[in-house]
Amino acid sequence: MLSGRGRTKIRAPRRGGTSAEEVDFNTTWIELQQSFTAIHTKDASGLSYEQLYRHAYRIVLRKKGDVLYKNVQDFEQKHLSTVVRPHFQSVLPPPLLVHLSPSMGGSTVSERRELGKHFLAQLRTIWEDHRLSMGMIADVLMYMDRVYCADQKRASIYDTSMSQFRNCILFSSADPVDKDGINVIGVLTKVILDQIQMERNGDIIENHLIKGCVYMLEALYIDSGLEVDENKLYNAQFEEEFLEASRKFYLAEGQQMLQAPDAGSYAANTMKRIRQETDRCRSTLLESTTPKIVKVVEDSLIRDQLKDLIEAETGVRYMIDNERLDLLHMIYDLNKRVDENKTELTKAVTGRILELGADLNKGVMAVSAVSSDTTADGGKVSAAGQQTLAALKWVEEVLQLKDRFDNILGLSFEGDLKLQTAQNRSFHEFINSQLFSRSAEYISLFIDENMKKGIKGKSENEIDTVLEKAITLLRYVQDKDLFERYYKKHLCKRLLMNKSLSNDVEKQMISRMKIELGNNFTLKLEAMFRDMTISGELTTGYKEHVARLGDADPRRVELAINVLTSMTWPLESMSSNNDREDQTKKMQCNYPGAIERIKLGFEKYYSEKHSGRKLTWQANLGTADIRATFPGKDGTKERKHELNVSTYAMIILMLFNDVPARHSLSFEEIQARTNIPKNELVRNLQSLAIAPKTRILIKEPMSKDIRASDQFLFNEGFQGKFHKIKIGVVMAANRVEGEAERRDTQKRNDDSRGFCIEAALVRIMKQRKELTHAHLFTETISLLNSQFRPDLAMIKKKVESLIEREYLERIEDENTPSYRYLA
Amino acid sequence: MACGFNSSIFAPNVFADYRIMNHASALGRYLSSGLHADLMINCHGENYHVHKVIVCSQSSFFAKACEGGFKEGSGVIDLEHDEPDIVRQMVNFLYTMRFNDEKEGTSDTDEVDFIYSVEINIKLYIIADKYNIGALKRVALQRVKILLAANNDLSMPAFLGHARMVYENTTDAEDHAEIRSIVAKKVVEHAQALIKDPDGDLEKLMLDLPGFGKDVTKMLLIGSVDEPRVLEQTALVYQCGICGQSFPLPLPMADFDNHCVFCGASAYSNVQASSWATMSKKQKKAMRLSCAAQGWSI
Repeated sequence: MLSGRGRTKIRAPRRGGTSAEEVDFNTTWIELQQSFTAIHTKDASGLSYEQLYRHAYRIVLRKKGDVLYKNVQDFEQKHLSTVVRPHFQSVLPPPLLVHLSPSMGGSTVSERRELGKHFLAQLRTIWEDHRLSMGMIADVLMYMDRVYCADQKRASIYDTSMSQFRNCILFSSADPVDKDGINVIGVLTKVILDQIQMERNGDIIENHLIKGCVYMLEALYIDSGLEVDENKLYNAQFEEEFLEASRKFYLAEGQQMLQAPDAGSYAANTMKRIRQETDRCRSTLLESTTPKIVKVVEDSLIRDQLKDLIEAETGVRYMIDNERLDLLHMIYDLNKRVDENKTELTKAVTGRILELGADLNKGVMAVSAVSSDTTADGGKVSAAGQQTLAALKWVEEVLQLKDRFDNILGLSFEGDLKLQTAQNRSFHEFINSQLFSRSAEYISLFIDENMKKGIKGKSENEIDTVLEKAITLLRYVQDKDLFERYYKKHLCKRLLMNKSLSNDVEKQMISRMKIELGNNFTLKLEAMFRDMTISGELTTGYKEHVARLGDADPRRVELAINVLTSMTWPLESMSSNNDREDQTKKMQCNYPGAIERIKLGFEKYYSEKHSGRKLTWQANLGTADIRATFPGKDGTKERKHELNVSTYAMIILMLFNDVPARHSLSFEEIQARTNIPKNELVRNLQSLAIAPKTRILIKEPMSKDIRASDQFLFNEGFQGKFHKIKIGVVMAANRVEGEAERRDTQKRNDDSRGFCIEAALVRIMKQRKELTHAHLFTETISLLNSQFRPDLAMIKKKVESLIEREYLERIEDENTPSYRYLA
Repeated sequence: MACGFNSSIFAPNVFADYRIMNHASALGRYLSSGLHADLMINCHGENYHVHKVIVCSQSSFFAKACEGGFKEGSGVIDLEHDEPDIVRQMVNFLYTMRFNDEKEGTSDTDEVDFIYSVEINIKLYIIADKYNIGALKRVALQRVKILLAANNDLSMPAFLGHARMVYENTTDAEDHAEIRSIVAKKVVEHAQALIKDPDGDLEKLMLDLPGFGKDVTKMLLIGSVDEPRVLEQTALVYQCGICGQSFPLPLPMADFDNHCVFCGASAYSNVQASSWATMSKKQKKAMRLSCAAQGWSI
């Protein structure tokens, strides 16, 4: 066709191949129209796409795009209203409309279900047909869409036909007779809601039919101009009604369920409903509805009912007490849905912890009250023992409680941080309850018990668990200083009396405390260990020193020494309460010659090594191993025993070395010769002469008490089952303090708190120079909080005292009371 | 099928990228062999065994023809109303990304060749517009632009034929505005000579095609030559990854249609954008010249 060959004359190129054809719009349109009808009747396989496309292309090139557009629109309008709608109305079962009238009565569920199914199927079919045909027609008219519609900013022919479908079918009356009757989309909504209701009641419905219609509602917009999500028919026409109907249903169900409230099954049902609705949105409706319907269920079934549910007889308290972790998890889940903070559940759980904790506190207090009531001094030991047991039991039970709630937290509350904090707060609260001030002591006792017995034969891991438990509890204790005081006391006894099973474990414990409470806390504890180590070296050193002196006396007394730094060790609290006054007098007892020599020898050795240090001998803390020989008599052989006694007992017994056989010494004589404090003497004599198994001395007259007039003599007939005999309960094991002791500890603790407060006050004021009363107090409290919670009255007192001593002064002309630091 | 091209390649540096060249020639072999073909295009006795994946992916016309429930669903498309030469060029382009707008054999004058080239490109533009083949449409348009800019003394009667072809086969939609204005501009440039032409073709054309008359008049009134494009300080310079040419664009690329102004490649692969404002005067001058030579004014 392109001919450039041959002649040189240049002709204008011919127009395109079809330029000769004059597009006769009318004939072309008739052809297109017929084809569209064929497409609508699913008879398009004989049509040539190329031909139809070309027709439309030509029309648009001839600037007839607008006419074509309008014609197609009219054609579709006519098709929908004269073919599709009558057909649809004719297949609609008339009874359906009757059933959908407000009365809804007169038909059975299964009838309604079948009719609804039929309706959905029909509607879906005409929708699918329309969509498919219009897709093909739009393909044919693609050039028009691309060139004419794009240029004129008109909706594509496909979109236009969708709006037409919406107007002609969905918005038209479902009833061919009644033009103003309920429209098709109204019927559709009712049918879908009806079907969903059937499913909620346990029926099986055809979800895919609904889904098909839902897709239709999703694809169509209520306003063709504005294609945003809210304008989708699904969102604008259906969803709201669905949510409203659901709300009604669930409110009614909630009412019904609450008639006989069983928190567990209520929660289970609610969870089930939420699951069902979520599934339904996925399978039948649209996923975008999920959060909305879930919220409806939450609002109707949880929000207002939760409080009643949790507090019901079968509520959280019941679930906790019966370890219903599954139910608790459901309650947690429900609560989480309506309240980010889970306030109600938190309240119930913390309440229960406080109750149970208060019970434990009351239990242990009762034991101590009972025992201190009923016991006179005779039964004192066992009473204290009982209390100690109760204290240990308290700790165990608190730990159990903690385990239990940790378990609940982990398994039922998904380790929720807020609940965890709340639980911890509750534990903190009851452990530090105003009515119960012994937790620090009890926890220290618990550690003591474990260090002495508990960890015997346990693996490293088990020991670790025990230590961890102790630390866990320690975390809760507010009065860390008080704990430190007790711990030092208990540790002191363990160390000096060699009661601790493992030094390693002790050190582990210390390092854990260091991590938990900081360096300051463990400084003194570590110093105690250091003293023990140095003392060990000192003992060996001294032994070598003696050996070098060449004084190889086989009868020589061996000395094991512990040099304790007086600031570090709580020596004052080591002796029992009665002899405190004596203690202050620093009464020195008379040691037997051999011992005195050794003592002097060591003092000399020590002062050579460390000049300027003063050694004070604590006879009340030491022990001695002595060999005693009991002469054979009346056919019995001579017996030798090794006696492990207190230092005082050793002094007493050695007194009898110099007394002729069967001679007695009176109490006063013993006291005069030994210079042992009276009460110590009484106690040592008790264990030597009264305790039935270790009666090394005979007392006359035989009675339970020691009187000044009593006579004592060596019991030559003593029989012991073992070679080694341990005598003396002088230093009782660590146990719960008595009332007086407690008062004493309290006082001592208050004193040291006083110093801490003063130091804190001065430190703050030195830095700030001037500060208001309120600020000073809050800062002081926050500074000291890691150690203990300072008492306001005490701070006040200390401020007064600092003013008196002219560290601080009141600022006179301030509105708010303030202080100034005086350098 | 006999349509293998062995002659010149349009815009030689289009295929600077070896990978694309390789790809195009590999595809071209499948067009000539018809292996795996699943669609046949008939045009006046010429049958092209093509692959749906190739043609449908580049043209929505072919895509819809194959997918809808029409006669073409059987796998045969008749294009009896298009010129066989043009259809052959089009099919070839779909496979090889190139077409040939040079006259085969010898001709008497350069002018004949030139007119032939313009015509081919206009026809390719029209068929690309009809069947919605974006790349071909863009390349053909660029080519028309370049050809008309390069040659100032073309035979006007012949060119009026071209103008008629353009105006008869396009609309006054925005989409077609560019090609129309190129043609109208050329007519306006030679208005004096054309008016005096005794054959009076211009007048007839204006009567037949009101759109043409309107465009020409408007252009005469407003001023025939486009104002040089004023580039803002924000303009960026892009380099086409296919032909390697650099050119400034007044807008960020995303706002502009993604075609190289030189070769019409549908995307600037390996674009290295730099700021127009930071270029030296010398660089700007060089770029203006090279752009002007391609009919692209800055």
